[in-house]
Amino acid sequence: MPRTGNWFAPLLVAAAVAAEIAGADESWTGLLVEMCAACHGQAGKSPGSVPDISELDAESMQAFLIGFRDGDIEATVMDRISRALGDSDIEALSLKLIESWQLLHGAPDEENDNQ
Amino acid sequence: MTTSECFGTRRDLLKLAGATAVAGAFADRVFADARGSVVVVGGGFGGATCSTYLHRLAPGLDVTLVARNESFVTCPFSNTVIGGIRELGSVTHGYDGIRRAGVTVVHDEVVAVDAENNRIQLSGGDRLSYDRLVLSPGIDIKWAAIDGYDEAAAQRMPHAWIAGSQTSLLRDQLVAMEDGGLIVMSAPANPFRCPPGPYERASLIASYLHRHKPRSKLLILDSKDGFSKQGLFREGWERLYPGLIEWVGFSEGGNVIAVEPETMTVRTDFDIFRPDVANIIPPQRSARIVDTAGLAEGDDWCSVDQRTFASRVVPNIHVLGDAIIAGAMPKSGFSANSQAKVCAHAIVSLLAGEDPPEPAFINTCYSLLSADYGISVAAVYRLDDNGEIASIPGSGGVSPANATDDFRQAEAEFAKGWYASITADMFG
Repeated sequence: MPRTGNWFAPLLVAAAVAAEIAGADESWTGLLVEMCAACHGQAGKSPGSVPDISELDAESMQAFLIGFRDGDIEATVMDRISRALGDSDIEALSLKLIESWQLLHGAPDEENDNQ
Repeated sequence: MTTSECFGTRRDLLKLAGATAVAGAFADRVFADARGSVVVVGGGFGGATCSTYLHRLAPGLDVTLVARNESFVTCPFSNTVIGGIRELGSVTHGYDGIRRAGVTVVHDEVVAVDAENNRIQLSGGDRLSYDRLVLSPGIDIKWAAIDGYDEAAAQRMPHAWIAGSQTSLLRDQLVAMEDGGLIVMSAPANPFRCPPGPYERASLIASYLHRHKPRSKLLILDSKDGFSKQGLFREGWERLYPGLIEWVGFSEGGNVIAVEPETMTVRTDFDIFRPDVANIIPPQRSARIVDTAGLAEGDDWCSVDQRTFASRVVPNIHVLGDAIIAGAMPKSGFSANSQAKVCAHAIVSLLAGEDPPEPAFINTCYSLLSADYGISVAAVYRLDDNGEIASIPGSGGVSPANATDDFRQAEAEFAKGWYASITADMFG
């Protein structure tokens, strides 16, 4: 179940972290996060055939986006999309994506930790 | 030290975030405080998405979605129904998921927007008041823009550009047609809903004809001299359906100026055709409901502040999706979904007395040329210095030319995956 009561508050933590990354335009990547669900599904898990990225950590996400952008990893469409992103955009976006997905759909790890 | 070194795993990230949330550092964040009543009109890609995201962002808001019908048939993937690949039911979606998410859903038709009193009038007699109104009403056909093409003509020569019964009508006509028949499709000048749509439809009709009625022919009469993903479509037609599809651009006499449904006649500037099936995709405009509040100012499309989608004409009303001009964004379901999220963020910010955030948008339009041959065009957008939505230089573009069969098949699979994802994003 989405934990709508407080999910946006921790999201801001990621935003604050991202804002400290040199050159990152926090605000623009903040809303860019929302756009990924149209293909990849909410919390990175598509009900269809688009690759499941829900299990990636921020570092892997960043590596994929840089690899797609720079032509080091083959892609059908993500190469064209990631060329819109600078290094600091990718860093901020990767952090925020994972943060928001966990908060949207809950995180069993954290709930277990709290018990 | 980079951020990723600091917070390398999702577990670590979450711990950091969770700990700070418990400390209440951001407990007074704007969205939690956003109060008021937002009415969203239109149950398609823009309206369904906006209502869902409004409620998610600000659970304290009173969000009502007004959708004309109890289910919504998507224009995206409706061409697969016309081509006999899918059934209409597979592109039809209900609103139970949106209700479960906490949005009030009303099935009724809006007959007037009373902007002066911040309320809308429903056909059943009810009025709904709003603090903010979101209109995502889609398109209406410009009847009689092609001489003789009115609502009655559309029953004989379907447009099928608003999905549903028109989709089934065109499909039934294709099934009933004899092998060796002529199909004429007319495509409008820009701008119109779904720029690659006519050519995807032509492809999937050709896919059906190729399998079942191979002596038939499809003629596209176009009111423009070029079209979306043109090189990729023509490459695919040559590979998959050689000789089956003929395209006639504006300069070569493709502009349809009149139809006579009684005699199944289609007239261009230079020629007369008498097809067995005529799919007339006419010029379009924003849905006429916008006229009740003067939102289009006599034009075909509404003008909005592209940061918030607030009308430039009438206060407290936001318009999005196919009904507006949105800078460089095409009129697509993906665009409407993207705009709806930006609009939802803007509205909750405004209701909380905050500045709306910096927008970002993505659009990816997949087109199927057969069940296992897909192509795409993609773009990432943000606002330029003039506040207009602009594509980011160096990014986006179309699928590569002369790609392998495996590449085209992968894009076809991703097209189907996209459809599953975005409809789940909208309808839950």
